[in-house]
Amino acid sequence: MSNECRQVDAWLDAAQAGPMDPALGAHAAACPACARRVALEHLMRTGLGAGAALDAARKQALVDRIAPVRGAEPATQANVRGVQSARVPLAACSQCALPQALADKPPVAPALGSTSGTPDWCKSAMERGRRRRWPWAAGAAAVAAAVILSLTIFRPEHRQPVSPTELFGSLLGPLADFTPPPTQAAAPADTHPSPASPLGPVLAAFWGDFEGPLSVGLDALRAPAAVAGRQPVSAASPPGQAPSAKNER
Amino acid sequence: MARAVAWKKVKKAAEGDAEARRDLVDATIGDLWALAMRLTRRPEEADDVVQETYARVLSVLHTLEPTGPFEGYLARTATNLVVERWRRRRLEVGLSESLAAPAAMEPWQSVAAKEEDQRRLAAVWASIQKLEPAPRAAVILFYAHGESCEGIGRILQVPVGTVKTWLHRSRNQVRERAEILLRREPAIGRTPAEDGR
Repeated sequence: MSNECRQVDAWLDAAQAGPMDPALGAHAAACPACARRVALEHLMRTGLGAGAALDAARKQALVDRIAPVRGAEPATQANVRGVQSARVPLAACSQCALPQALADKPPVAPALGSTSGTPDWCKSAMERGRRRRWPWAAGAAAVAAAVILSLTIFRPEHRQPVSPTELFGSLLGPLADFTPPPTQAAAPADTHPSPASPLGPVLAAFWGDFEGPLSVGLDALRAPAAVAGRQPVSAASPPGQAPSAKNER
Repeated sequence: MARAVAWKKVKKAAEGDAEARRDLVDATIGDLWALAMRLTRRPEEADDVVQETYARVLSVLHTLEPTGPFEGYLARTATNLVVERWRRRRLEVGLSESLAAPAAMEPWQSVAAKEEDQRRLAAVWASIQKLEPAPRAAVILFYAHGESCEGIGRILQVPVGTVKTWLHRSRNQVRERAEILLRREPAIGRTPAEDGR
């Protein structure tokens, strides 16, 4: 609305915390745009809440629907609490005989017009009872499968120690296959690859890089034995002779 | 608004006293149904909301803290139930559908004597239905139920400033939509039978 003044918004916002300011009425008398908005506000305040009175018949019907919630109380239970005292005894249901612990949902009376003999709360408890049994069964099955799988994989014969040389040799084949003798001419292309080296040239190149450090390591392991088998120089030389050229100088 | 329920009675009801529970329901069911009716606008749906509200609140009576009026817990539970229903079916009911098939007797038709007022209230309700769920609940609680901004904030669990913002925006949105509806559909609020005459 183009001719609407802005004062009414402030008045209406202020009216949210209480009754409408009488000054707004005086202003609206002189401002047609504000008068429409004030009239609408008044209509909303007086008209929207109408027709919500609860008549006696409906109230009685509602109380009857709520009666199973508030009326039943298992006085024989020692640990009576608010939730449990509101429960409908499960013996009232002829369709099932679930333990009391499963029926922890607050009971709701069957809807009006329902023809089912089993209350909804009882059906719900049955479903939850089923749901509660399955998780641990699935977990037990998973644990059993894991145990069987581990026993299959880690059998005793598979635990024999295997040296790296044997392991790589079984995977890649003998080293001679990858290093042709220098004296021989280049071998013709192998149309039928050897079954001993199935992993391809990438791993072969890796094994070629690995071969050098491995041989150095093995030599280092063998070195003490070789040194022990050789006699020291000082012990072999005769007395009075210089042990080395450095001492002679 | 009925007299506030004493927490002493709530405590007795929580301990399993059937008489206290009956008194609790009798003392609060009128206001609770009125709130549910104003939010849902359908008596059958209001019955369902009231029943479910009592089922929930009475099952957790022993956990309630006496920090405010007991009716506040009922109102909060009922409002949350209705807002949840609105969110579930917000896309199912459109404005045109609600206008094409109005209830047989809307609540305001018993109080708004003038036909013009009935048309305007029908347009206002149709516009309120287009609001988002939470602001919609705030508008209905404020205008229809007469709740204060502080009370709405407690019920919807939002700050008072948020409630005031919702009311300010929603008021303008409702007014603009209602004016558009009144211009487009002069027969708004009438039943199809009345339009056929």
